[in-house]
Amino acid sequence: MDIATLPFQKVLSEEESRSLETVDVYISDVEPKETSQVLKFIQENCPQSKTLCHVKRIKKTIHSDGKGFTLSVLICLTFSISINELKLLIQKQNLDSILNPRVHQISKYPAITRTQFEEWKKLWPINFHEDPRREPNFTSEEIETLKSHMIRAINLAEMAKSCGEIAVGCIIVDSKSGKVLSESYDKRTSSKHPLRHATLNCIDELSMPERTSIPAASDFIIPNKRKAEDDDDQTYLCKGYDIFVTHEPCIMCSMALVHSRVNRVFYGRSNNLSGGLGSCYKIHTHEALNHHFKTYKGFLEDQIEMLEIDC
Amino acid sequence: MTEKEKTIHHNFMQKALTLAQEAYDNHEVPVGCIFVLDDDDDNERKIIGSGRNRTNETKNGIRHAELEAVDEIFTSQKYTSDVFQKCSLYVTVEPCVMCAYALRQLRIKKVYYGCANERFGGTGSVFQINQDPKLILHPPYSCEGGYYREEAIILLRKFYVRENEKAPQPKRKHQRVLKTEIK
Ligand SMILES: [Zn+2]
Ligand SMILES: [Zn+2]
Repeated sequence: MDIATLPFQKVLSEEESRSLETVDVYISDVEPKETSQVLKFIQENCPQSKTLCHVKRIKKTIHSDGKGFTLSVLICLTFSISINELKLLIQKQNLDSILNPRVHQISKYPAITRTQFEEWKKLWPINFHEDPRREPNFTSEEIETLKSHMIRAINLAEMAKSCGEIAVGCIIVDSKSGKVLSESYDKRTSSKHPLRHATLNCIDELSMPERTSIPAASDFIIPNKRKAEDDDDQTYLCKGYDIFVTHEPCIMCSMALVHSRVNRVFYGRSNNLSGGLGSCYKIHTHEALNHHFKTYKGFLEDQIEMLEIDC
Repeated sequence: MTEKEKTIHHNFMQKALTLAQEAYDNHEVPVGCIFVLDDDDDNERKIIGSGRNRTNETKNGIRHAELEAVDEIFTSQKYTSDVFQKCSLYVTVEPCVMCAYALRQLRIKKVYYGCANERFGGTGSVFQINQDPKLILHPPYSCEGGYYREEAIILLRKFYVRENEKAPQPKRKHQRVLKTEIK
């Protein structure tokens, strides 16, 4: 299914969603026949930086009349050498007639998304290798299954509301079999316990099914014994499981999903005041944390919004 | 440390360390904590709840010492959630991101900890959930580390060395030995 028509959007990491940041470099126009000489000079004389691996060395600008082109070459970062020092180096090699450095701005970071690439390459050509795992494909059949899970989470939120609770519902599903393993909703009101959020309840109930106090659905499966292959750490309760939750998990619940090694998260409404998967923090992609997972937002958002309106 | 340099906070942290040791003895990551009610009206400080890590026993990676203690306090039915506004937490290791936001929602008064939590710490190491001004739903709280830091670190190191020895041969990290010097 085409990304544009998916019923949810991927919650991008800081690196995927950042806008253009530039860094100053020296460039110079060169005659095509002199490029190899110039490149040799740069390689042997100019300070080179690993942070420039994402940009191309040479830019080709086609003239507006369509006839002919200009070649420009990237020399080095401006902060590694002053313009006067650079000009001295050029003079020393007797290249002042073919190299005339000037300051130019290029993208500071490599592009991760195609959108970034298309935008940033306008400044100076950059390398781009699209990671196919970044944008997984969903078949229409999969989308229908995912929808049915989200509807189940919405039903739980409705149930919560009818019990006088905050209308948030959550389910945990085995990604491979599609079996629902745990379901819960927000119970802060009835328990007078401020931490009884839907996601946390759902994780706790997965580990201790006897605690479950809500009317269980008929196909409720209790995952008591896991296969040996999963056994490297039994506390990774949500390994290979997906979470469907009507609202973006708060920071506490988001980190609980890291501790549980969840596979994917699908949520409906964003939570601007305490959301940990896109709004206030991006815990699912934070480089310092040891487990990352894909998160999708905006799933059946309109239905969930309706649920809130007549609260 | 001389007796003179010990404060009331050290006394409470000593109790949290005992719980961390209990966790260690039960093959859990050694983290322990206590909640202390320090009401201004009466000078008596009172421990209202305690907990230790139970992630292995419960097979649930979120059953951290702090959440265990909080649940114990609610289960006792002696206190309502307002009690945390008058409570300090003493925990042997810096609270993780999850617990740091849990404590903020509880409106905890103050947190004292032993050693930093480089991998998951939510009050300075990875994030600063306790002070983040954009989280406007609950007030910030202050956090102070270093109480019996070395003891907390040694306990954690002992745990990881022991776990490594238990691991099947190919999974073992080579030559994991107990380092006793602390920077
Ligand atoms: Zn939450
Ligand atoms: Zn924690």
